[in-house]
Amino acid sequence: MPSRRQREGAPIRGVMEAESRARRQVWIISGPISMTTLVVWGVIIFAIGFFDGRQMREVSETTSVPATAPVSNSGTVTVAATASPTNDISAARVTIRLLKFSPDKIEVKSGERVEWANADLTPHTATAQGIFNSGAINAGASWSHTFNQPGTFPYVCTFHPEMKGIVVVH
Amino acid sequence: MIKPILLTFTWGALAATIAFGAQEKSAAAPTDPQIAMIAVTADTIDIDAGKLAAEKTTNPKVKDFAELMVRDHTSVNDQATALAKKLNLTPEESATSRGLKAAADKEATKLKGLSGPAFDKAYVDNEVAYHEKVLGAVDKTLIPNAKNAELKSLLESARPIFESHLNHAKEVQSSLK
Repeated sequence: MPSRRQREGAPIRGVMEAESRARRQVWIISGPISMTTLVVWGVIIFAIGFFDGRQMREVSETTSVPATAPVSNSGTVTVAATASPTNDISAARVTIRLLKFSPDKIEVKSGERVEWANADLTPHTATAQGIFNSGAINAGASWSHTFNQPGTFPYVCTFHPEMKGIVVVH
Repeated sequence: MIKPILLTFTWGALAATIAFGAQEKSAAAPTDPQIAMIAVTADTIDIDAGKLAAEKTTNPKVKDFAELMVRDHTSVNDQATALAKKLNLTPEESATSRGLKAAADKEATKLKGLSGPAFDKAYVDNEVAYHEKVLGAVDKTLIPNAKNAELKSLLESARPIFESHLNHAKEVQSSLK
């Protein structure tokens, strides 16, 4: 039978033991060795994530560069005229601006699409009699055509026939 | 006696010079709101003339040309109006825009009284003269005086269209001879 002293002391001893247990636990978490370990692991995990992500970005950027090489207008600077924005890798682009098709000669592979983007102030067309006809492309609008057969296709704007272009399909 | 007369004369001369100078200045150098109005007026004139011609003519070349004028000038006008709105520019009348309108009204009256080949010739001859005048104004007055970069850019983009129209008009004119 525990003495009265022992009985009264039990709760206090329990608390003291719990306290020292807690202190030990705190020490384990915030002790210098454990802290360093945590930091080191954190850096390692971050580095893996960073470099892995960068590698993936490089891969996606490479695939968005189109396979066709643009033939530029004589004397006209065309900035990546056939390189469409990153999300559309299948269409080569002709920009209609200042009453010109840029580039005026575009080369694509059979099965590929050409997009005519009207960045001019008036409606235009891209028309190759019997082959393709965009009808009126309004200012700010676009029209595309997929070329499924090889050949050389000269075309004009029927509204402004001085505007000429060629599509070469390989 | 002489002093008041001299004074009046001097002030009068000064006032006249200022008024004259100011007028000269506004005729030679339109502001952006005035430029916007000149552009819109010039477009509207050709749209109206084109609509009249498309209705009246039986010549397919003339009809094609008239329809081109309506199509192109409507589009340019839409862009110009949208830009003016975007820039918070309220187009402002000027001696130039009023003069253009007056001349166009006179021409329209004359054309309405004509028909057949006489109409075709008068319409196309006027279109040649008109586009020459507009092109000159764009090159000498509108583009050089436009202060806002977007307005200037719009005028520079419109220029090749007016030149194309002039060439078209000359071709049709030759075909009517």
